[in-house]
Amino acid sequence: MNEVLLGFHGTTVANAEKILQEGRFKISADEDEWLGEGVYFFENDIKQAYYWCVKERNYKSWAILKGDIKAEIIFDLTLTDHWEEFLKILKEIEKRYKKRKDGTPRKLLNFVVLNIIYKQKPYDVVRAVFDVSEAETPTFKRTNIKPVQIQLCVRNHDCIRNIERMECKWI
Amino acid sequence: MDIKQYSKEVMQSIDSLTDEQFDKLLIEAGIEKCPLEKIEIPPSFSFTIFVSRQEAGTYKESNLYSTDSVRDSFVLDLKVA
Repeated sequence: MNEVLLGFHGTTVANAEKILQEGRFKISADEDEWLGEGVYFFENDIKQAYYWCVKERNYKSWAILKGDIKAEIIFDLTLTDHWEEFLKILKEIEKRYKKRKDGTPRKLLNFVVLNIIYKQKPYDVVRAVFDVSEAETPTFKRTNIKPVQIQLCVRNHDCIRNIERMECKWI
Repeated sequence: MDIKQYSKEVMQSIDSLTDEQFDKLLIEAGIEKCPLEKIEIPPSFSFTIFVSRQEAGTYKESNLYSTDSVRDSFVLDLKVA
């Protein structure tokens, strides 16, 4: 059964125009991409996409795109069941990796594990919580409620529908 | 999505790979972009003690000469018989 998730993607105006024209996002594949290769969205939270543009990337001219993500296979790391299975797979990969005779062992970062999982059995989306409590927030010192982001890394581009540029008059 | 079934199939698929296929998979997944694991080496140090105690008893000695990295980081129980 398909689930529809709402995602917001922040980028430069030039990139946004290209995406709208072509109907396709560029796949991020850098080592910074903690959830592996894919198109990244902030779930339900347009303001996170805005902060991404202006605080993280310092874009002078930015735009936010909205997309409906209609996915069937969601690797949802916010769920304990999924998280525990992810750890099991991670341990198996690590065990096998450490048996290799050649090379110096490297830290198996999340993105490598997720890329391996995807290559063995493709999924549509991986969903995970990113802790942003280190970021300066005026309320953080007064409460133990931590600000978080729910990030979506869409591997199957066909899941992304109804791409629209958002009006951001509220800023 | 039946996550247990999914996970089982992923692990079976990894198990069935030859070493060469597994190495290729690691490279394709970006292992070479990961930092090298730090190798933990236990600290080694040496120190010299000048004992001026003459009366029997147990003394706490912390003013020891040692390498800079461990200076003042421990206290020695010194027993003089």
